[in-house]
Amino acid sequence: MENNSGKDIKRITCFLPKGAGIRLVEMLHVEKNIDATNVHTGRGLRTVESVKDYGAWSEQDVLTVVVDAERAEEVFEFIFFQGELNKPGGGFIYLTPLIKASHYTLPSIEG
Amino acid sequence: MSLREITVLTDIALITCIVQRGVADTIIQAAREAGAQGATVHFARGMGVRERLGILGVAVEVEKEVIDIVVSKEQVERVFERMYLAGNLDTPGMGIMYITSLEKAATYIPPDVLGKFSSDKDEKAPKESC
Repeated sequence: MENNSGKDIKRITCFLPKGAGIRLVEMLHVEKNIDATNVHTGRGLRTVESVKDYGAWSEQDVLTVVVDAERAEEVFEFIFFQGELNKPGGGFIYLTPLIKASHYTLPSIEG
Repeated sequence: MSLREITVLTDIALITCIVQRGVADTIIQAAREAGAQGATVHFARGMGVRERLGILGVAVEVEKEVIDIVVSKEQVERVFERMYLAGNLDTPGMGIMYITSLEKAATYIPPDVLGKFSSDKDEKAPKESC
């Protein structure tokens, strides 16, 4: 069983409309084989673009993904487009480096 | 802009502020007055100074609100200071805040805003004379 700590690691965080977080977690698992994800909920105040946006709190998902630096760009782009962050009200995504992170790999159970 | 393009934002920072439950709205109001565009808040449970204050610790709420605000590096000092003052963070037990430097970020940017930036860039570019 491997449980190494990695040093060249990035964290991707995104603020998403409610419900989009879990959908992305599943997509990251199936399509990118990434399981170092976490989703929690909060409330968000979006950028004011019209009068109706004033004081308009909405429920939001906050998705956090820890990835190797070499895959960071690919995963960033994947989340941006699959999470439809390129559309109005789609949310916000950012990337930040980490100093150190645990890196757990599931053991192979095949005989 | 085609749908497959990402407009990457750089020179930005994340301000995280952890305060007692119920205080976040006042701090966010101050941040917006200082130029912040948006904010996200979630609940958490915290400990630390409450335990060290002894009997006075009962005045510190265990339930916390965590505020995340992304701002440009130009604005970050001003927004941070306004939030600090609004939350009375110089008082023990009121909370903590910190700034994280972000490598890059992305979101939907309206075409008219993008157009404005590209036209500004064109104006600043040196013009060739014939």
